[in-house]
Amino acid sequence: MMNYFPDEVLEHVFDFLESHRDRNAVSLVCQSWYRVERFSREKVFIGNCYAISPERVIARFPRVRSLTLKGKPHFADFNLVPSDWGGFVLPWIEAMARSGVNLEELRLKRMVVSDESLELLARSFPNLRSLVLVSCEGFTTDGLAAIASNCRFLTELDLQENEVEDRRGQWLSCFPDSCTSLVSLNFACLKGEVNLAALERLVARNHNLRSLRLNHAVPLDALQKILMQAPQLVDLGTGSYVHDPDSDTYNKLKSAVQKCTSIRSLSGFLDVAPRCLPAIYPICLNLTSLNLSYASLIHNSELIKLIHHCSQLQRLWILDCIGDKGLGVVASTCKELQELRVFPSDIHGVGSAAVTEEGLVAISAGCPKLNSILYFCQQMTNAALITVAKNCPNFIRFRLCTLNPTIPDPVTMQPLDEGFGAIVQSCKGLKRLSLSGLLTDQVFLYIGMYAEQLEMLSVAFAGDSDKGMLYVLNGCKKLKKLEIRDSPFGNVALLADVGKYETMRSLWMSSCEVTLGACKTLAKKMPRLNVEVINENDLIDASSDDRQKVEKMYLYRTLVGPREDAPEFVWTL
Amino acid sequence: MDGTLGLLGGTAGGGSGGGGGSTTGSASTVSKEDNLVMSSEVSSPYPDETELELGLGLSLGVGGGGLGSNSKPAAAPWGQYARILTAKDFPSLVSKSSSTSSSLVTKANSSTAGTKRSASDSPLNGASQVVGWPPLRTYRMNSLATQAKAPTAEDFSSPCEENESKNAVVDRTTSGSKNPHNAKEIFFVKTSLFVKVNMDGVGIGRKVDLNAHNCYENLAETLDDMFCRPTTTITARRSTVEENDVMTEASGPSKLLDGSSEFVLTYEDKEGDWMLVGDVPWGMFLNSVKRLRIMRASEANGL
Repeated sequence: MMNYFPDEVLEHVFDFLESHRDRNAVSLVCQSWYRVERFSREKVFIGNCYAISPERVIARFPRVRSLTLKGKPHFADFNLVPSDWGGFVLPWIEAMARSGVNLEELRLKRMVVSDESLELLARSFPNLRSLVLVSCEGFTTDGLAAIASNCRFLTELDLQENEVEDRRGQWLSCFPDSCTSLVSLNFACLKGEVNLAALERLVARNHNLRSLRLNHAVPLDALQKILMQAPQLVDLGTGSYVHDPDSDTYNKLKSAVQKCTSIRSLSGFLDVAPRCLPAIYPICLNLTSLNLSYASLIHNSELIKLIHHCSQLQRLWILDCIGDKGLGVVASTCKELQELRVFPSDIHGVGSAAVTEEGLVAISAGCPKLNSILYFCQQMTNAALITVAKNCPNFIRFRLCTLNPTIPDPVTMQPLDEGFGAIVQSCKGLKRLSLSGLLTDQVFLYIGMYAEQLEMLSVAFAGDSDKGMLYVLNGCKKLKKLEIRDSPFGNVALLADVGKYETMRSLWMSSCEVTLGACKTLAKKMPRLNVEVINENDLIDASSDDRQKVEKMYLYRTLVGPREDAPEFVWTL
Repeated sequence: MDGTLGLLGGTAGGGSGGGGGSTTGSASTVSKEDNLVMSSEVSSPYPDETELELGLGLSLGVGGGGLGSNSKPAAAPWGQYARILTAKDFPSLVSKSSSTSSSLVTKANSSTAGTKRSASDSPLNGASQVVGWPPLRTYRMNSLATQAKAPTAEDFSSPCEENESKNAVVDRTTSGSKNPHNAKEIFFVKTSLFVKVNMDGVGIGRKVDLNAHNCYENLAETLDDMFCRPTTTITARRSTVEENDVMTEASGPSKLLDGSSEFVLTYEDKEGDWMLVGDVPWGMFLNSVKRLRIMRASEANGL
């Protein structure tokens, strides 16, 4: 029936498809749907920038206006990937500039972004509205200056946890007076100072500003002035939150905050004077999202006082100095909580600050809507995990990180297989799982058996033999990303089902038992995979012994063969 | 958990049950850069231990980078820092570092059978030795690293400002050095902040990595080791850029920071002024220091 509809109708129907997965699905139905879909797709998501070339993307989707790209493997966030591995955005920007793409949004994650790229971006796309960079590196504030100066219609500049070199220029001052379109500005990750007067003027003239996240260099008195100009803010990230609570400035801040009745999301507090916290109590009641995970200077008791005000929280990111008791307070206060992240405050693991299984159990008991957790803890027990699984069957993301990666259940001294097994069995919608603690092949058996929706699995220091990995590869039909480090999985597991990898985005294995020979075999059998071997210590070449173990292997499906920008120490087999 | 396994290679994964030679050519999470960074000397008698010590130096800080970890800091003349945070202010850190450091060293020397990390290993030690564990983004690690936990929570105290700007992305993007991060980090990602140190009366200067320290106490201890109690191993470990000349000048500047010795520790700040070390919060100091000078007290007018 649908074949007889004119293209415009099909296009109109496809407009309702939000997710790229849905669009991918419809494009496979038939030739005409493929054609209509490709000309009408405006938002393109590329999960691995090396899976396809920019030219082919543009050729297929000439009307692309919004591009999302991801570059380095996830473990690059934890320094497991050498910094010159790759993931450069420049070729993409160049290709789009050449082809006259009308780019309006660019979202990058774990990519290398040079100032040159940013300058080219700014010059080539006058309609650029939105630039979002997450966990990227390679650029300086000069690149940001280019964006600020040239993108006349910029609505969103969102920099999240990037490594940015500060050139002490005045990038923020480069926003022209005519810039009045900003809706979202996040420069919290920048280390240098900004011109405060320019910032205040910028905020004053951008009346649509909804989200503003300041960096560490913006002091509290500037915050106060900014809030006076922007009571309409919905999302606020404070800069340095330090002042004399007995001062006039602080009082002015209090009244400014009271006028900000729209704030639903709060973050920042890198520097914080706890006695200044009461100023924000009025907005706590309406908060749905609170990120205090950088606020290591707020004492436990102040934290708890603050939490008591936040009964509407849906998302909470916090440091483990809140303690198990503090988590108990969260559990009894934040009944709407959906996502919780508890980060370590003392990475040496010797502090007494860390949370344990008790905190997690309390949260699971008190927060029935919980569906996403990232929990760094001192220890975990099977009993606790089993309880959590029973209390919260709705987990979509479950990431547990014990500070000691191979710690067993301290009560029973058993591995945590049963605990995680309970999680995967109970949480039928689980899409992402990260394991830690002492784990044998058994946990993988459970995962393979029960984790039917699992898309991403992170494994570290776990398992006993190839069987573990095989359970997962055989059982998890929807697996997209598998990343494994320091686990005894080897060639048998790697080569058992080579076709599986074309159904996945990528596989990372480091410090495992996989040898060069097996990687070569795999590469030979599967031409549509790039099998990259990363050996920083000894350059791998044709004369290397096949029996040599591979330090790091990253393989991913691709339509465009080996990449040309791989550095010396990366060998695509 | 056996710390060295994490550092030197992941074959401890253990399925191989320590099969012979499993470490050869194995995935080593310590790159070549580590060896280059540690020193120019070709052979360290205790390679495993050295690498661990480097990790100690970087991640434990209070133990005093490197060798200091084995000596009980409290017993040293550094017990009293009248001017600034004293060892007493960090009793927990001091004792912790001593205990962890000794157990780390023990692990270095213990046999590293290829078996899985045993359950009996102290949970306290496991975390701090493995690259990329706990899995936290660089940005967050740096943040945690530079936020000093001030012993007294003063409202005005503005804790360590970010000093990353000195380290810069430049390190990451220079083509010259491979893996500057993996090179230095067992744990923290911050790159080095080497500044020159000259001592009055000593012809040859040294360099010290300020980022390997997290407070004045550590720094003073390191300088003390460098200039006053030289041993070959210390200089061998410490020296990266300068030559390994052993400092023989040892006229006892042992209490650099509390004003009780004949020397004082000063620094040149961004504006070119010479200032006494210890007045401002550590982070602020890192942001403004250009180089250090151990000056004769008699020359330090008005101090």
